[in-house]
Amino acid sequence: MNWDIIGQQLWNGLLSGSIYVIFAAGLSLVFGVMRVINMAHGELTMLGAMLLYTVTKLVGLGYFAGAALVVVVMAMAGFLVNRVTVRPFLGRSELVVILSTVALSFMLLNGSLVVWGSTPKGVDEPFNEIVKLGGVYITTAGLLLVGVCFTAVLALYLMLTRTKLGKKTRATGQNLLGARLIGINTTAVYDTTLIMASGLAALAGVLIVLVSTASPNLGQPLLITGFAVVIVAGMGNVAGAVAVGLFLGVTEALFGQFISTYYRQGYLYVVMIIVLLLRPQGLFGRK
Amino acid sequence: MQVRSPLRYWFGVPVLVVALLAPVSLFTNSYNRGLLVLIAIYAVGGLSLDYIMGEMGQFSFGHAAFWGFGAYVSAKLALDLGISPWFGFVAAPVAAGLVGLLIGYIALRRTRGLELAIVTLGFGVLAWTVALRWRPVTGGPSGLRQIPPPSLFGWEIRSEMAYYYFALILLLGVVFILSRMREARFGRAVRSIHENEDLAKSIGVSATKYYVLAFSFACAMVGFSGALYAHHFRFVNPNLLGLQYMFIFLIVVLVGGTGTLWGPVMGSVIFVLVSEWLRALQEYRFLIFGVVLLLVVLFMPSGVYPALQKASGRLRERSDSKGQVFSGGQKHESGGAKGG
Repeated sequence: MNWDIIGQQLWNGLLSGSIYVIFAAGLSLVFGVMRVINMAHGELTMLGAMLLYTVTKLVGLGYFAGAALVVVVMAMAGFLVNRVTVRPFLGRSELVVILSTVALSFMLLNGSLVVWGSTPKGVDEPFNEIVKLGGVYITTAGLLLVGVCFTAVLALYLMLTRTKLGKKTRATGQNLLGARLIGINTTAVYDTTLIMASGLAALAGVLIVLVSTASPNLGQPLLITGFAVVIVAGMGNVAGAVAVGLFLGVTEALFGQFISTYYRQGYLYVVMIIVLLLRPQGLFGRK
Repeated sequence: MQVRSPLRYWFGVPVLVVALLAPVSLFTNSYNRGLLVLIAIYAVGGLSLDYIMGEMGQFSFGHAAFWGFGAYVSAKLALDLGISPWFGFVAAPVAAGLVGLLIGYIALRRTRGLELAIVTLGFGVLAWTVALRWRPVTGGPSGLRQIPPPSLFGWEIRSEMAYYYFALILLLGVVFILSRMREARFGRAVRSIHENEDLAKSIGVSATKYYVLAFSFACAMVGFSGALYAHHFRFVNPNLLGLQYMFIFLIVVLVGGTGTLWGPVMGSVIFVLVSEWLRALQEYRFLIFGVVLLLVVLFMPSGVYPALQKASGRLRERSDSKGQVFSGGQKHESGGAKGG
């Protein structure tokens, strides 16, 4: 057995796992607070990546300035996502919101294909040196990705547990009516939840281009991977999503290396289905 | 309660006449007749998805996967074993129904609503991955080609016109079976679970059993539609299992109207004709369909057919909940949750 290869795949798994973590955290947040499945979450990430491409390549901003701009703009777009595709449907069945966000996702995907075409676009990383650590090649851009992901998720965690807004958010998630009765402005909470979630989604997008390319088609596979993470972790459990996202990222890379590159993505769904069979509430979910 | 509406019959006669005359009057070249075939195929697919959405009040994101699966099964039998497509038309729904039984059993024992939607999405994407990757069997990304058309007494149903009448008969058969099933014990049991699962259980309706069977039935129906597609267009590829067709069936059902027998048929007519009309717009088409779907969900939640029914005034008011999209969904904790 070649330890260098294992080490390399662990690193690769850490990279994709970090993306899964930050992506699934947003998805899980929206589900946990609003009991809404945002089918457009993947397209928000995709838009983050494509907009970054546009502002760096065509407008000429640097990576960091561009990324910050894109994340802020997309976070504000989260407000619109809530007002247009989620809020009008909340009085109706939960499943209707799936349909409206599916519609949004199709609009964003096909709109992006019209604007950018389907060829993947590269974005220049701010720095990209390769460091050899033992037998493992590590890129500095990858280190940046991992660092930012965990900082963002930590910030989300602290926000939810330590701040007043976080308490309001959790209260709304636990009991909407109760939260309203004690005077929490749940409309504002829903707005900020989607603002945070789209910001996280866009952040995932601007980080993906550090290790991969930007393409309008990157959203859908990511969305489904995100669901696998969220389901395995237990729906609405943000902390669980972090652990599971990392675990699945790493084991997926090892699976791809040693078992089958072809069925790499299939691996995630099989794990998801097995977990559903044995523990339908997810590994960290409560019954 | 479901009242058999007179509209279904009075409406039916002219519609049937139009449907019968369409290929000899309005749709005269073979390309346009191909559109009619597509209408019939999507209508069967839409009816099957509506069985899950309208009758069961649930949602399956893996529905297109069963469609593609049916298409592959029938194609594979005809290509590799030289079995007649007629057998494929039986084998495809049986195979899709059996897989639906298995997946329904796994998924419906524990999950409903949102969770079910996501679980079926996972299964659907898994099926799509297998179709894409299992090259020796599925032909990989390029799929299978040169699937034979069905033949009747040595005469191949190859022309669009013949295939259209063939598909039309089958579509009417499906509509007939569905209308019978609604009134049958089975259909009433399924609806009672939709309306109130706990109540249905308390009077001895085994909710999981009926839901699994109903899900399997819908899968069989869409598998059948898939086989119709395979032998008409004579090729299959992994896209058939993908989200794009899922989206098409969704439009067909929602535009037409859920929980109404003729809604998905009408939705299919509208979808195929509008999409043909917009063909010049190419890649903008799906962008427009996204907008249309959002607008329909926003402003016409019960779809076109119920809207027409209301407009035709002669009808007695149907019970309010029936035409609504997912009317069973008052399960939202904290009582309806109008907030946000």
